[in-house]
Amino acid sequence: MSNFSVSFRRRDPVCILDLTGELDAHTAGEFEAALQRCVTEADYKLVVQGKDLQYISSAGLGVFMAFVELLREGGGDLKIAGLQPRVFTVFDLLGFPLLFEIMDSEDEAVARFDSPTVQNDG
Amino acid sequence: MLLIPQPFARLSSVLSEERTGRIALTVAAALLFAVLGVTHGGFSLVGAPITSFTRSVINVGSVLFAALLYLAATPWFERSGYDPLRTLWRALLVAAGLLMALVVLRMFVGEGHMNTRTSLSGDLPTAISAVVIALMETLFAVAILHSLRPLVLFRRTRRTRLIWRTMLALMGVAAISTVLLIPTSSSSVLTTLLVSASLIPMVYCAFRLGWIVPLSFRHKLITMLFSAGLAGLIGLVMFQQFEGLASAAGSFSGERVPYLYVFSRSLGELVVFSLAFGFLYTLTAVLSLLFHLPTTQAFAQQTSEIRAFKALAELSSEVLNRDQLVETISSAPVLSGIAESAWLALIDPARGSLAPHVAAASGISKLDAGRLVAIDALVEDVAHSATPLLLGTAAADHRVHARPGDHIGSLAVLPLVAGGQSFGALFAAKMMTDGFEEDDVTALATFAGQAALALSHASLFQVALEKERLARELALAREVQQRLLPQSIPEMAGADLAVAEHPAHEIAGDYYDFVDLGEGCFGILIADVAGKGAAAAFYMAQLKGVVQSSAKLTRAPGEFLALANEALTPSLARRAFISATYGVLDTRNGTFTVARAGHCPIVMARDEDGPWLLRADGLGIGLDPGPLFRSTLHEQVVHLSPGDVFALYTDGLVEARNADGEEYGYDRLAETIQDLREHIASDVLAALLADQRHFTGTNDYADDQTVIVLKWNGMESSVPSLDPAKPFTIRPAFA
Repeated sequence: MSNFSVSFRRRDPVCILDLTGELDAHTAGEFEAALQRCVTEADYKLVVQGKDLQYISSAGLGVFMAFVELLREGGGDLKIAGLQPRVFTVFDLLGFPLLFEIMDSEDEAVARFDSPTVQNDG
Repeated sequence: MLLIPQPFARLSSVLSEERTGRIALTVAAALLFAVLGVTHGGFSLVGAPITSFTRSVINVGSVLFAALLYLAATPWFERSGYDPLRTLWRALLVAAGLLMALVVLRMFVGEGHMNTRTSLSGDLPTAISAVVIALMETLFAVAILHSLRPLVLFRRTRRTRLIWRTMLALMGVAAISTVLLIPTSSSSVLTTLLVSASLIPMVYCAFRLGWIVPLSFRHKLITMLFSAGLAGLIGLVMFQQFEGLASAAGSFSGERVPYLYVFSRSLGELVVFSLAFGFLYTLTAVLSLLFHLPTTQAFAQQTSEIRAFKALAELSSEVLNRDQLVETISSAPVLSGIAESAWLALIDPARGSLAPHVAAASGISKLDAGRLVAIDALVEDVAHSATPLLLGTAAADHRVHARPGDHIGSLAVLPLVAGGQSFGALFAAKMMTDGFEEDDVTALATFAGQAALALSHASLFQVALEKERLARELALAREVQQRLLPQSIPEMAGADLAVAEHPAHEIAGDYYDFVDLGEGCFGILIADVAGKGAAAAFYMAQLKGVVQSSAKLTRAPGEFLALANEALTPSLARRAFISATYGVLDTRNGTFTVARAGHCPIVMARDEDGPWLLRADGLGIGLDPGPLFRSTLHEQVVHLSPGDVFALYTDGLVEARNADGEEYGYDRLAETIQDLREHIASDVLAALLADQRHFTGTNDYADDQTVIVLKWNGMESSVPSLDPAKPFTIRPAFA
C-alpha cells in the first residue's frame, strides 16, 4: 500500500535522506520516524534528496516544519535538494523557500553546510 | 425367597445412611463374630461332638455376620465413588494382601489339626487360625463384592439393583441350606437348586460391563491387566478352598486343614460363591475388554467429539459477551472431564501489550496459572507451530515452574488460531503425569479451534460495534462542521457565485466563508487546514472564530490574513499550518483585492487575455509567527471587467489524479475556466467538476475539494491598472 520510502546515506558531516514515492498523510509517519532517528543520533545536518519524490501533501510538508526548528537548535539544518518541478510548486506555494534552503542539486545543498557564513537566501 | 432382599434393602438404606447406623452395624458384626469365635474356640478345645442345631446356629450366625459386614462396609465403598481403574487396583491389592497373609499365617502356624469327628479345630492354634482366616476371607469376599458392585451397577436401573440383591440373597440362602439339613440327601438337591438359582443373577451381573465402553485405549489395557490379575488371585484363593470343598464332600485327606470350613461350612460356601462371582465377573471383563480394544479409537473420538460439540454449542451463543465467552472456554475442558484445570491466555492488543495474559481460569486461580507456567513462551511456541503442544511430564519442561504440589503433572497447550490470527492459547492441565490421551488432545484441539473462531467473531463484533460508534460520532462531527460553513451565499450586486465542496472523509480540512464587510464590500475566504481528521476540524473551528471576530475590522485582505496568522499561530501545532486565500470584492469601484497565504493561486479568465493565475507572495498561516509573514505577504488588486470569471479552490481539485497517476493540474484547470467563462457561475462550476470527473474517471474524491466560482457581471473597474499589460496590480500588503 505504502509506496514511499526513506533511506539514509552519509556524506559526512551531512546525512542524506533519499525520499522515494509519495509523501502523504499515510506515509508521513515513516518520514517522521526517519527524522526522529536522525535527531536521536544527534545527526542535525540533513539534506533531503527529493529527486525521486513524486508527490507531497500538506501532511508531508508538516513533517519538515515539525523538525526544522529542532535541527537548527542542534546546530544543523534541513536542506532540500533535487525536487521535481511539480513537487517544488507545492513547497513554493506555501512559501517554503523562505523557510528552507531548497537547492537544485544535492551537491549544492551539502556545500551549504561547509560554508557557515552563508545565510539562507531562498 | 425373593422376598428376602426387601428387608435387607430397607435395613441397608435405613442403617447405612446414618453414621450411627453404620457404627451399630459394625459393632453388631464385631460382637457376633466375637461370639462365633469364642464358641468355635470353646467347642474345639472341649472336642466333644456338637449337635446339628448348634452347628446350624453357628452357620446361620456366620452368614449373618457376613451380611452385617457387607452392610457396614457399604457407605465406606460408596464414598470412594466410581472409578473402574481405582476400584480394580484396590481389589487387586486386597487380594494380593490376603494371599500373602494366608501364606505368612501358614508359615507361622504350620500344620493345624482338625478333629475329624467334630469337623472342628483340633487344638487352640488351629482354632485361632480358623477364626483369623475366617475373618480375613469374609472381609475379602465383602471387599470383592463391594468392588465389583459399582461396576455391575454402572448406569443402573431399578431392575439391576434388584437382581444384584437377589443374587446376594440367593448366595446367602444357598450357603445356609448346605448345612441346615445335613446329612439328609434332600439337602444336596435343595442346595443344587439354590445354587443354580443364584447362578442366573450371577451370570446376568457378570455381563453388566457397560463401564468398559467409554474407557480410553490405555485405560482399557490397564483395567484388562488388573481384571486378569484379580481373576488370577481370586482363582488362587478359591483353589485353596477346594480342599475345604473336598473335606465337605467327605474326601478330606487331612494334609491341610480347610480352616474356613472348619470355622463354618456355610461361611465357606458363601465366600466361595462370592469369589466364584468375582472370578466370573473379572473373567468376562477381561474378555469383553479384549474385544472392545479395537473399537476404542473410533469410540473415543466419537465421545470426545460429542463432548467438544456440547461445549461448542455453548460458545456460539456467547459471542456477544466476551467476558462470558472466555469464562466458558476456560471452564469447558474441566466440565467435560478432559482436564482438571484449564486457563485461557489471550493476546489482546487493546490492553496495550502484545504479551499474553490469563483472561480466565478454571480449577486454578488466574494468578497461579500465570505464575506456574511461562505463558508467553508457550503461547509463542504453539502460535508459531500452530499445533497443540503436549507436555506429558510438565515439570520436565523449562517453561513450567510448577512443583509436584501445584497440580500440573501434565500440560496440554492448544493454539487459538482463527483466520490466520493468533488469539493466544488454551492451557489444560492434569495432576497426573501423562494424564492426557491422544484423543483428549484431539478433542481439546477441536474445541480450541472453535473457541478461536468464537473469539474471532467476538472481536469482529467488538470492532463492528466500535466502528458503528465512530461512524455515529463522525457523522455528528460532520454535521457540526457543516454548520461552520456558510448556509447561504450573500447577495453581492454584480457578482454571481457558486460553491461546491466535497469532503473525502467525514471530517474535512477545507473551509470557506463569505463576510459582508458593509458598503458594498464582501470578503471571500477559502482555506485548507493541513492534515485531516479531528485536529483539522478544531483548527477550522478556530479559523471560523477568527473570521467572525476579525474580518469586519479591515477591508484589506493582507491585514486580515496577518491578523489570522497572529491569532492562529500560537495554537497551531508545530507541524500544522493553514493555507488560505482571502479576497475582498468591492462592488462599488469594481475591484477584487486578494491576498494569498500559501494557498493555491486563483484562476482568472478574461476574454482576450487568456487565463491568469493570481499568485502573489505569501506564507502559509502558522509557518511564521509574524514579521516574516507580514513582510512576505503581497496583495493583488484585480481591476474587474464584466465577464471576468474567478475560481478559488483547494488543492484537492488540481491534485486529483487519473488512473495513470497524472494530476488534473493548474494548466488544465485554467484552460477549462477560460473555455467556460461565457457561462453563469453555477454552470461553470458544474462543467468544471464534470470535466474533472471525466479526467479522473471516478466520482470519488481522494482529497477534500472545495471550489468557489465567482463571475463578475458588474461595472468596469473605476480604478485603472498600473500595468496596462495586466488586469491586476501587485503591492506589498504592508509597505
